[in-house]
Amino acid sequence: MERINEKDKVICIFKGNMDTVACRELETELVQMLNHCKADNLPLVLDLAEVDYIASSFLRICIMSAQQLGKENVNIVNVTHQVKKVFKMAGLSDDLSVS
Amino acid sequence: MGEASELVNDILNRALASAAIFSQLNQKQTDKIVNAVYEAGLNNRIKLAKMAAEETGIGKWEDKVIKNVVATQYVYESIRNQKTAGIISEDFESGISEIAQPIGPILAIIPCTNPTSTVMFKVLIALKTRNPIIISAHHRALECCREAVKICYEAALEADAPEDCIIFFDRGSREDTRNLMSDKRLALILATGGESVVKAAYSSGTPALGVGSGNVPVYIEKTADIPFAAEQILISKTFDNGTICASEQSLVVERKVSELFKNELISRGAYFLSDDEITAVENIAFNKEKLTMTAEVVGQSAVRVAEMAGLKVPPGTRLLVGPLKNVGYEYPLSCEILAPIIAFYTVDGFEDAVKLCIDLNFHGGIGHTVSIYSNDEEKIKQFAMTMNAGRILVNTPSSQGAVGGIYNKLTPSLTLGCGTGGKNITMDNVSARHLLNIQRLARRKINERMEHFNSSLYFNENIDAKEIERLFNINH
Repeated sequence: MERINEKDKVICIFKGNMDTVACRELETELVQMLNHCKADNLPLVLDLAEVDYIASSFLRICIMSAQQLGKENVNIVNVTHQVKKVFKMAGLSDDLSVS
Repeated sequence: MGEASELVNDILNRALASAAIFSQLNQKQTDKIVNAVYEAGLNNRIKLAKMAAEETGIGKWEDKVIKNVVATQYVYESIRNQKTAGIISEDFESGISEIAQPIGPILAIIPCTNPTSTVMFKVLIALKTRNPIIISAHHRALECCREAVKICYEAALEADAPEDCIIFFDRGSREDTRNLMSDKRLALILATGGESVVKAAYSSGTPALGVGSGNVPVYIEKTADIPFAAEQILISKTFDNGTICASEQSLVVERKVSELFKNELISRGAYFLSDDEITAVENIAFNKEKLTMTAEVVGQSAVRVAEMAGLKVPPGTRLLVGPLKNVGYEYPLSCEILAPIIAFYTVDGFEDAVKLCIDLNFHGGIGHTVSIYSNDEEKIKQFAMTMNAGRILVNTPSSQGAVGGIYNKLTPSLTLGCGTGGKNITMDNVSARHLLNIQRLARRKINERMEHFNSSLYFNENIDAKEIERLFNINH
């Protein structure tokens, strides 16, 4: 995961398969990042342009982020059509901002 | 229908997420999971059989081992090479390609008669089709089903299956079950069990594959190999003490061979009941108010049933046979009883036999299974065409024959469709192929005859159907 701290937002760029193992490895970093966003009142952008597969753990990361920062402050962007379908099938497209 | 409880909401949200994740897997990844679960199930066949027999008090653990084998090894062999993900067929002639899509979360209702085998069977066909499955077990079989789920789920996760691809629905109230069944997040109910649970599934508004009850007549035609027939029927009707819904319920025997057949049955441990003894068995085996078998006798041995009825039968008795004159609720042994109890009718010939089998077939067993022992191909065919049954078994023990894979090439299954007569959508042995949405990609292939036909003729009232057909097909 690549993290870019901009003045008005934090961008996370994910790559490859976001499976259970990959998500577990990111756990600590993600918690820190969420704390940073919360403290500085910054929105979070999750960029999935280069993600081919997501596991349940990644859905949980998205839900947790939205719960902590508010739906309007978490934007999941550049999803492939395959990943978009996963969010849709999981019934999360109303709870998360996915584009 | 009430609001879904927290428990139901949690289960369905997890199942829905799992369905979404599962949809990303390809055939190879899917098959790896199915293989792992099949192996784990087969490895635990004895442990789970013993648990099921002990917890439910129904049937014999040795026979439950065989059921677990059918549910894993036989089912796996029948589905392992099936294409169930992505493009599954391409026909260049028609321009149609078929694409298999998962259907979504499935709720599986598990009966107490075949608990662990039904869990493993339904889990395998669900995973093969990339569908998460929620297991709701009969209250008499909770622990053995919980263990079967645990074994399957751990194996699935080890093979990189999505989280929550198998969920055990625990501690749910009746209200929870109703709400779960009718929730729009659920894709399908795979209902195996008593009439009430199947009816509830069909009434829920969610698509359901249910199974009707059986009442299997067996026609012993005069050309049958009588000792062979007697042997096969004993093998079948005593299997797991008669708990399979495809087990024989009535014997319809031609007079010419009736005495010989009776003696062959007796020599193998059948006990023929007197009229008084029939009444005694009816009193404990049939609830005359509910018009159904009593739970107490289901899966009990013949000796135990006789004891319950206060009868003395010879040691080693394997089957209780009740000679009857007619069919109906006034003759309770003509109804389905999942225990080693069977009705016996003597008839004059083919016509009488088939008519009686129709009565039995329509007395609570429409669409399920019938059986014939004969070596007259013409009579076998006539019998088959007259009966309303998804499975017409020839010279075969019906318990093991109907589930397929052992005595014939029927699809191995523990969910036997009974067609519209049994209020089911299919008469098939339900398997993986019933758990897919098949999309058809149709490429442009214009009907050439239409191109050459003057379509303005459709608007001419003087041109009739025959002329349209002639012109439409001209030079073709």
